[in-house]
Amino acid sequence: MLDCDELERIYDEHSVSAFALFCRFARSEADVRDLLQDWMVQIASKVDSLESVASERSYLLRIAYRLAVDWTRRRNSQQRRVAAASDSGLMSDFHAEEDPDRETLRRALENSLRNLPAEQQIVMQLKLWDAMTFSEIGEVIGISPNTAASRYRYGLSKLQEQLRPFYQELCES
Amino acid sequence: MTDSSSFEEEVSNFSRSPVPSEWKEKILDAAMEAHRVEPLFGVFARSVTAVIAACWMAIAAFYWITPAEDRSEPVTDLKELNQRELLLVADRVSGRAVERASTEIFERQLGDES
Repeated sequence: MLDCDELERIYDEHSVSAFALFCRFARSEADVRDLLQDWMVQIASKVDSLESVASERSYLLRIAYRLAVDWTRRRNSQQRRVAAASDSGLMSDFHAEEDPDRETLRRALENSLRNLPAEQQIVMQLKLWDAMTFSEIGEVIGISPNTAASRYRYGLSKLQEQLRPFYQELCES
Repeated sequence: MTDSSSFEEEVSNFSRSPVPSEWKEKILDAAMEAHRVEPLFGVFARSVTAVIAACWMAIAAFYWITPAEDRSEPVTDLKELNQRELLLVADRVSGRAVERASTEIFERQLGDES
């Protein structure tokens, strides 16, 4: 029998990470919500097997990652107009900042992240905002820890390059 | 630009957007609902599959057990039926006649030899 409290706990603890992951793949609010719902539906059917997994977070994010990859494949095989039509409510990656300089950096960071290749975006996100190890990241997206590390280094270097003016301004002020 | 670690620290300090709070209830409801419906559908699907499989097995068994001639179309034409019966009788009679003739020939040969 499915335990509602257990499902709610999983949602409370991991939905922010999954949400951020889905935001890397889908831009519209409706798509992200659908992905999050599909993710919870899948988890509901696998909730009994959670006890046997080594890392609950890696396991759940791996489900989210596969779901997002499948969704992207499906979407790419369909007409692009479908995605364009649903771009009405775009999701923001980060909370708005009160400080204007930090807000400027935040916006620039969002844009720069979006400009990175998808595989680097995911690694950056899992490393910087989910504080995962390269080994855990590799487990989530099915790559070796070394590949995860090199993707991270490339991504970080590009971000630094693109955000240099904003970051310098922030440091000076 | 300062070193990478301070940059990492700076950007990782940005807090991520939370999941819209109004989503939670609907998403959890949908997950629970799907979990309730799925087993029921599974039982139904398995039952239908079992019935179809049983039908196919019965058909296969019938063809395997029943000789080919019995599976041929039943004779509905009386005339044809009579002809068949006559042929069967003729076969039987002729078989007996051949048997009797060969016995007579054999006995006659024995008589000649003695």
